[in-house]
Amino acid sequence: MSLPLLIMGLPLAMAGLTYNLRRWLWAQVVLAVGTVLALIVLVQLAPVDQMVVFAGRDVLLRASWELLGRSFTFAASDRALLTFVFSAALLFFLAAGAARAPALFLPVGLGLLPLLQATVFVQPFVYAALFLELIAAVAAFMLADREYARTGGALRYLVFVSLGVPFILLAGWQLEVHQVSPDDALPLLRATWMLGVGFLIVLAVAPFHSWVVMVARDAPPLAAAFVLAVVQAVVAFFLMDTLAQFDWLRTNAQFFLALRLGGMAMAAVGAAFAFSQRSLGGLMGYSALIDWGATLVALGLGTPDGAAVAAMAITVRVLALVVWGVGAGVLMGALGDDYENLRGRAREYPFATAAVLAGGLSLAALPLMAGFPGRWTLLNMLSSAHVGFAIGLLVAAASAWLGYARVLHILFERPESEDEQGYYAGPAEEPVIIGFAVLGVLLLLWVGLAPQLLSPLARRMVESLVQLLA
Amino acid sequence: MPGAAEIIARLPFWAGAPAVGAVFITAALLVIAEDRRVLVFALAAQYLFVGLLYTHVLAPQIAGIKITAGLVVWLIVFFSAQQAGWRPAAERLGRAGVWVIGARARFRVFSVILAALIGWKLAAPGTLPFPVASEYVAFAALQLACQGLLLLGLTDRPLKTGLGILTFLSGFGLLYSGVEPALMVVGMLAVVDVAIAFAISYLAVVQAGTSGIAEVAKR
Repeated sequence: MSLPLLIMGLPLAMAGLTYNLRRWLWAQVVLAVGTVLALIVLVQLAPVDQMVVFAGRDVLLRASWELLGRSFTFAASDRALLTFVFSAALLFFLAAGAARAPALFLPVGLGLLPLLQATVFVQPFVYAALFLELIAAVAAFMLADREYARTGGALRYLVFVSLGVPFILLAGWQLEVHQVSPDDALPLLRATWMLGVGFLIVLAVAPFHSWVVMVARDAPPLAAAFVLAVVQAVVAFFLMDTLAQFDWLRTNAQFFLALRLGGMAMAAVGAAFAFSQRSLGGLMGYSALIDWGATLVALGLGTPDGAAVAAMAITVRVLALVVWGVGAGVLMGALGDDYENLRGRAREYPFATAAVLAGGLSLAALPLMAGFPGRWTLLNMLSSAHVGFAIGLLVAAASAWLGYARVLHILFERPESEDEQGYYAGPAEEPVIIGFAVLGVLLLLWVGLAPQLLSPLARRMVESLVQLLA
Repeated sequence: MPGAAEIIARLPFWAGAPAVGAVFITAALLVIAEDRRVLVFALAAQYLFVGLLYTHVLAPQIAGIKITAGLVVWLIVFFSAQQAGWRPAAERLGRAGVWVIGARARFRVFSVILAALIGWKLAAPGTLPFPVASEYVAFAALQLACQGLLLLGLTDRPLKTGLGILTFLSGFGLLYSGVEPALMVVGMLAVVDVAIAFAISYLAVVQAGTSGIAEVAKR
C-alpha cells in the first residue's frame, strides 16, 4: 500500500461520511477530529518503505504513488509540515463544534485535506498549482451558504487563483525547456518572472488582494479563517519548497526583493484600510493582509532566520484565526457583521467578544499576544538594513490596533436605555463557547509570553530551506 | 445520414477555420448576452469546437477526454441555470427586453472588439513564447483567454463569472496542452474544469435561492 494514497484517501472517504451526517454536528465533529488525529499518528509514526506487521498481516507502506506517469511522494521532511496542516485542521474542526459552523464546513474541510496534501506530494512539484485551483473550487462550498449568501468572496478567490495558476504551470514548462538547453538563460529568466507573478497572485499580494477582504466579510467566519490560515499557509510552504528546490531562484536577489516589496504592498493596503473598517470581517481581512505582508517580508529577507520567522508567523496565525473564528462566528451569527449591530453587545456575549479581540489583536501583533514575538523578531532583523520596512510594518500594525480599539469601544458602549436594562444582561453563550474562548485567549497569551514553545516546531517545517539559505 | 467514418474524415475541416470562427462567436456571446438560454447554448458550442481544436495538439483519444469533460461541465451549468432561473436579471426586474440593445450591451460589444484585437495581436508569431502547433489553435486560445478575462472584469454574478473562468481556462488549456500533453495534466485540467463548474453552480444556486430570484424567474 502507498502511504500518500492512504493519507489522502482516508480524509476523502471520511468527508463523504461526514457529509451524510450533517444533521448531527457532534457526530461530524467526532468523525472529523478522529480522522485528523489518525492522520497525525500516521504521518508521525508510519514506517515508510519498510515491511510492518499490521493486524497479523505483512504490510509495506510505500513512499510513492504513481498516477498516469506522475508521482505523489512522501518525504521524511514532509512530516513536520503535514503535522502542522493536520493540527491546524484539528483546531478548526474542534472550533466548528463549539461555534456551530455551517453544515458543509466539516465535510468540505476534510475534503480539502487530500488536496492540501497533494500540493506537498506531487512531483514535479509545479503541478501543485493545479491542486491550488482545485482547492479554490472546493473551498467555495464552505465560503457561502444560505446564512452567508454573499458569494463575492468565494468567486473572487476562485478568479484570482485561476489567474495565478497558469503562470506557475508555464514556469514549470520553461524549466523543462531550460533542462533541454542549459546554456540558454532566457527560459530561466521567463520561469523566474512567471513564478514570481504566479506566486504574487495566489498569495494575494496587492493589487491581487481584494479576495482576502471579501472572503473575510462575506464568508462564515470559521471558513474564512480556515482559508486564510491553513490554505494560504500551504501556498506559502509551496513557495518555500520552490525556493528550496532551485538554486538559481534562491540566489536571485530580485526575486527576494519582489517578495519584500510585495509584502510591504500588502501591509500598506492593510494599513490604509484596517483602522476605518466598519465590520468585523473587514477588519480581520485587512489585519490578515498586514500579517501576511509581514510574513512575505520575513521570507524576502532570504536569510535562515527570516524563513524561520515566516514559519513562526504562519503557525501563530492559525491559533489567532481559530480563536477569532469562534468569537466572530457567535457574534456575526447572532448579530451580523456591521458595527452598528454590535454596539454595546459585549455584555451579552462577553466570551465571544474576548475571543474576537484576542484573536484579532494577536493577528495584529499586539505586545503580549501570540503574534507579537515573531513580528518583534522581524522588526529587529529589519532595523539594521531595512529601517523603512520596519517603520512601515509598525505603522500597519498600529492601524490594525486602532481598528480593534474601535471594535472594543463599540462592543462595550453603554446603551442609551441603560437604566431600564442594567449594564450586565448576563452571557447569552453556551458553556462550550465559553470554554473554547477562555482556552483560546489563554493559549494566545501563553504563546505570546513563551514563544519558544512553538518556534522549534515552526522552524522544523522549513528546515531544508533554512539549511540551504545558511 | 453520414456514418462515423465519414464524420471522422471531415473532422480536420471542422477543426480548422470553422472551429476558430465558432469559438470566437461563442466567446463573444458569453460576454455580451444576458439571457441564460443563450449563455448555455454558447457554452455547449464553445466546448464542442474547443474539443475539435484539441485534435491539433493532442491525440484524438485524449481530445475525447476534453470533449467529455466539456459535456459534463455543460450539463452542470445547464442544470444550475435551470435551478437559478433562465431569464436574465434585467428582464426579471422589468427593465429593457432581451432584444433591446442597451448601453450596457453596446459597451460590451465594443469591449469584445477591443479584446479580440488584443488577442489577434498576441497571436502573431513570436509575440508569446509558445511553440505554435497550429495557427488555428494559437488564435482561438488567445481569443478565449482575452474574452474570458474580459468577462471576468465585466461581471460579478456567479454564473457569468464562472463562464469567464471556464473560457479563460479553455484558452489556457489549449495553449498548455501544446507544451505539456501528459495524460495526467490533461486529466487534471479536465477535473479542474468540472470542479469549477460545480463551484459556480453551487454559488449561483445559493445566490438565487436566498434572493428569491429563482421563484420569480421561473414564472
